[in-house]
Amino acid sequence: MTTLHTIELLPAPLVTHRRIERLRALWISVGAIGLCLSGTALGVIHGVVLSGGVPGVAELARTEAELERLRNESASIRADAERIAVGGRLGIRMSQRPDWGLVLAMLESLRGEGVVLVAVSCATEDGDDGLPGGRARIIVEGLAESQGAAQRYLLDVERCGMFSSARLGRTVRADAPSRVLTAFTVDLQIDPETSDAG
Amino acid sequence: MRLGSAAPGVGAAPIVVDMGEGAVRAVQARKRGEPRVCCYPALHDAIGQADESAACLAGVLDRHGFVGSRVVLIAPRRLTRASLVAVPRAAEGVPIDAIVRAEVARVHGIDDGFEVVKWPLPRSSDATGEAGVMVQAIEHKPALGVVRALERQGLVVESLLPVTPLLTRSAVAMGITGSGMSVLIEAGWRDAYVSALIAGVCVYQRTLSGVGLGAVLAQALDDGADAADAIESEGGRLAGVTDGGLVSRSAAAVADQLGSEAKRVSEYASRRYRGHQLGAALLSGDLWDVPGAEARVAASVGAAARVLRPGALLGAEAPYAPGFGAAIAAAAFATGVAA
Repeated sequence: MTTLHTIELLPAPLVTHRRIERLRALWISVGAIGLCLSGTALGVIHGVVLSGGVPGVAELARTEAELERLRNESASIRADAERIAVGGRLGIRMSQRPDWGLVLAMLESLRGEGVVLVAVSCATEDGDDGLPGGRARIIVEGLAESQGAAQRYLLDVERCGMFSSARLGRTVRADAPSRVLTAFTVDLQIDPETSDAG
Repeated sequence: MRLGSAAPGVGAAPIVVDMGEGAVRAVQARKRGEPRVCCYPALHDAIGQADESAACLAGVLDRHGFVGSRVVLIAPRRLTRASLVAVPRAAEGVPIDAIVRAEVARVHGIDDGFEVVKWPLPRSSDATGEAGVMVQAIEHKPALGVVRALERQGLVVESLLPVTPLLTRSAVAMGITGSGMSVLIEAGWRDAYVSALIAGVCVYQRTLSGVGLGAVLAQALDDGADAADAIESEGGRLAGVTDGGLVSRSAAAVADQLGSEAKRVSEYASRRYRGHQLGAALLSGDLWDVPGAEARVAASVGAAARVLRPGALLGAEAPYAPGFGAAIAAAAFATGVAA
């Protein structure tokens, strides 16, 4: 509209009236904001000066003593928190221990007809923080009717997803009364974070 | 309802409204594509029946998809008064504005408040030592009546613009006035206005009362017959009226009369501004839709005649009727697409 202001015929009283209305609206907004700010300032003054008064030397001393007490209390709370944290970690680790019954049931269900389990030994290591509930190690000893049957058992155990690693140990020929078998060991591990058994 | 509701109209161009005596027109520029336009017969007197007229307008704008409530109003032609005022040379302490206002009030017998726009005239050849200004004035009371009536319909009149400066500015922006002399013929429904332009600046204007096509037709018709009905019975549109019919003959007579008046105005301007010869006649108003009217004026004034169609300033491709000149020019200037 800048090019048209030189040929503007809008009556001056109307323009003035609109200007006054705009100014009035502006002043109302400014007044409202001012009132809010004044209220806030009054509240602060009332809280700090009128109701509590200006802090004196005696009150400063009391405050320092209170601060010291709070510091001591804070140290005590920190120590308690540390103990609780250790206990918490222990609880978590204990809850993460494998359910050995489930592990043994799984090993048994996977073996198939050509494999017999002779012995299973389980052991858990302590964690890096010295707490129990770290890595679990399982050694499975068994007899298979062939080297291939032992290999298939290893693969089935690996696929079941319960163990973080599965490795075939030694395999040796074992003579049975009527046939030749393969004695084998499988070395399994369960890491706490990957365990589904616990 | 789109009108008067702020959200849908945010960012929309203002609606330019031209409440003419024969037709009411509205134009709203758009960022892309052709502007919104509408035109309908003036069923009410925009001044005497301002409320009825404003209510009708608001309904039409809404139905035609105009958005927003901002309005640029073309000053009703009947309310504006043109004057040529001689003033002393501008110097420090000379109250030019006060002199102009006093002279306008005296010449037009205005007692109440009024608004003026003025522009300086080029130095004339008869070096009298006086400078001159051209003035367009409008009285507050009737102007406020129209504005308030529109406000009661939820429209906000942001600007009130006189027709002649809009048309001359659009002619300059379109580069069709050059540095020479031209005449601008505004053929209204009831009255007509002939202006002399020097390098696109209006230096003189003559009002021809009762020379509009509507007034001439009304005189030619039997008592009680309506001029608009006569046009309706001859095809409905001025561009398609029956050749040789009453409307066509009346339009030819009006064109001849306006042509001869334009010739006189140009001769007066030639005496005042020696060295300038008439280059072209610029035409605005519904009359120029009548086939042959443009050629008759060209023959009368002895110069090329051209209908002023400022649609190009808005980037519009449609050849809007000659009556849209002021509204389209205002839309172009108000949206800043033309300077």
